[in-house]
Amino acid sequence: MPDLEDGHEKLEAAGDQLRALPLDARAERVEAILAELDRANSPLRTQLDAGLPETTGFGGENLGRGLALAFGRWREEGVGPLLRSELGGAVDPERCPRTTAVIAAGAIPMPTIEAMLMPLLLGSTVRIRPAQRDPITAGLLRAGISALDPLLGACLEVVEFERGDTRALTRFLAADAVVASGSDASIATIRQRLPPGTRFAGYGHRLSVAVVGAAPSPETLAGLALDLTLWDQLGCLSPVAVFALSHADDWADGLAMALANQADVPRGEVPLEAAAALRHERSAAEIRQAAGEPVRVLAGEDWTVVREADAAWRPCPLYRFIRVVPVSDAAHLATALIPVREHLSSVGFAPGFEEMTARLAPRRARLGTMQTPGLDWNHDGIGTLRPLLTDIPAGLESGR
Amino acid sequence: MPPVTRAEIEAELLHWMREQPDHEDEQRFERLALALFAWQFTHCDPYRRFCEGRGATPPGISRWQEIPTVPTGAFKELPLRCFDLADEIKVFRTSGTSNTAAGRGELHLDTLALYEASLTASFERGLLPDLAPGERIPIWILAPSAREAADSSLSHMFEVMNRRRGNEAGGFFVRDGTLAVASLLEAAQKIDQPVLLCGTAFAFVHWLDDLAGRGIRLGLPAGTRVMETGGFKGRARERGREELYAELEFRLGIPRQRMINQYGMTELGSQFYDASLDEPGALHKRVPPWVRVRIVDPTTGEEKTVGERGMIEIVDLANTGSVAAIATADLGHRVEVGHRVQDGAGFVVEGRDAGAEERGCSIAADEMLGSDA
Repeated sequence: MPDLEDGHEKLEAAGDQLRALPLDARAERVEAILAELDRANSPLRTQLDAGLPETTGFGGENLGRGLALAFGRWREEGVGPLLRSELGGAVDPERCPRTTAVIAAGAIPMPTIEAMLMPLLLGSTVRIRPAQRDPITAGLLRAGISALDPLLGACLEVVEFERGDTRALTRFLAADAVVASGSDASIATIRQRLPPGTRFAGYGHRLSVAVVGAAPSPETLAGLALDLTLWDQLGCLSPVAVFALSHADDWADGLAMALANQADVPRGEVPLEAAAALRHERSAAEIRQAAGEPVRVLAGEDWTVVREADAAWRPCPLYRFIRVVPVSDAAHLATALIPVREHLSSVGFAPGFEEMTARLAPRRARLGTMQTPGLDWNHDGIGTLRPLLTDIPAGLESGR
Repeated sequence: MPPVTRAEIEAELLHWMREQPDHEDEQRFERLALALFAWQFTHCDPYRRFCEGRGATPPGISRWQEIPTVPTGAFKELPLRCFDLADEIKVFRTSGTSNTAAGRGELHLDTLALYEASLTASFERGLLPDLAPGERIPIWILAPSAREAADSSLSHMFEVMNRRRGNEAGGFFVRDGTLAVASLLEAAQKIDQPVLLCGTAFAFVHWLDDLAGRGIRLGLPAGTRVMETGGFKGRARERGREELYAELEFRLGIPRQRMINQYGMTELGSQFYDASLDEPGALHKRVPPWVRVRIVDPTTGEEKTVGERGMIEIVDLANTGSVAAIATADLGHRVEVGHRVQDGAGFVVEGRDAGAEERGCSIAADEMLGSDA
């Protein structure tokens, strides 16, 4: 892995070549990479499938299914919707960054891939520090892209430096644009360290919920179970609670059954901290049940459904732990979400609840699709390309 | 004849807590723990039903290790008490930093005698082992007084210990919710005797920031010691413990080996202190004789061996009025205490439960910057 000081000139030269291409051409090249990622037996995909279970702790089946669903949608839709929704289909080259620094976080590979590929659309080179919990995706992607498209590959660089090395961090952040994921405290710290004028996309702590109402159908239950099991709930897009406007017991029972049917996608490795939190929350629910509250705990070997008695917000330890929370109406739902309102990323909805969920979060999605957003999703209300641009409009570069 | 009423159990416990020097007694602990479990099973309905749900009833429990533990989170949800509400004289509450609507953890008390006896014994053993019995020392408290924070168990503890072992040169330095840095500095520049500095880690950070801003370094008298408790999570400035201790050493002139961390929680009547003041070089927390700490596998519930990481469970006999057996979501490991094994095993806390605010997705849990970025 190159040192922070290495490779500047090569990267700059590659960036110049990339920027010489029109937006359409850059988009086509990025879409070719998306197609390769979606091709089940491509070398790049094979390496991700093989390497990620060990480094991220996800089960191979879960990982395979997650990648297939995400890449399938990316390839199918391409980057056109993103370019249209965030750039209006065209962009002034003067507004685009020449260099983008990415600080990745989390165990799920998609945000890393997205953060590496999307700045290329703007003609920007990308230097990325991989996530602690996913140290391989960035390197595999760069190597795979280099084999397919040497120019794009030359625009990417993976760097590593000690966590806590503030000098290295400061040097790393010396880019036109910075994309960072992490805890709110980390995002705030990075923001403070940015040189003046640096464009910044900071994606902090986020969580998602689902909203349901009418009696559950097998399809909606299967969709909700998929949203829950995919990536073992470690994605910001996975629901941590299901708010039921009616039939809470039916949803709890049905979801428990649907989760039990996910045995072919076993849960991955559970860190000790998470196992302690799981045991803690399950026991806390059990003692409330013992105290006479109408709480029910439904659990299997690797999943837990707690049918709550009230709408108080309670912790979710993740790893396939979900609370089914009864709410009486839209106002009650909005009140129940107040403690997490500013952290909401997505709201999943059952059929008939599109309108009620319209303004609860930056994104809403049908059950079963919560974890597979298109590239044009309103990423945490910030967007993906928009925050990388300067605000000064000049001439436009045509695109799709 | 084993004790059968709570009064009998408490009388024996009070006697035990006042013994000098304190000492382990496994048989006594087991006997009292089982008697207390039987009492709490009978007098705390939610706990009884919880135990019954696990097939654990007093006649069927023969070892203290089998007593069902209640998660600390339950103290946020239910008033776990073994007495009538009318007899309640005090409620301690956890700090209100939680983002959840489930409320703050509460410890309900109908007597303070056992609570104060326990905290006194541990405080003296952990922080004042070199002082003669009854000898007083200035205690500078970087926390609000019990008058300002009536439901804070920490403030209550400081109040009790200041009354029992403090002298006129000590006192509370958080007033009206503000750290009185000017008063602290004035006191520090005048003091000519060793001091016990007590407070939350975050309060120490504030004071150190103020001293650094003024470019001041102090040399507090030899024999001064620090008791620090609590973490930084959710605060604007996070700082690792060792970094804090290094700054305390630099700014105040207190050697690292005289800095003691306290591990405690509102839900418990007892607290745990680093053993290093009494046993130089010790890295573990000492367990009072009337308390047992188990390190268990959170998935299987089985006890871990010495050195293995696991979840911390505690049986604290000082919790007579609520529930004695508690499961935290904190992690730690047990250590051998060598030739002093008869004084009780020690343990090391490796990580405190970050809480719901830190969860939500793996991105938020990623330690991407380290502690000092």
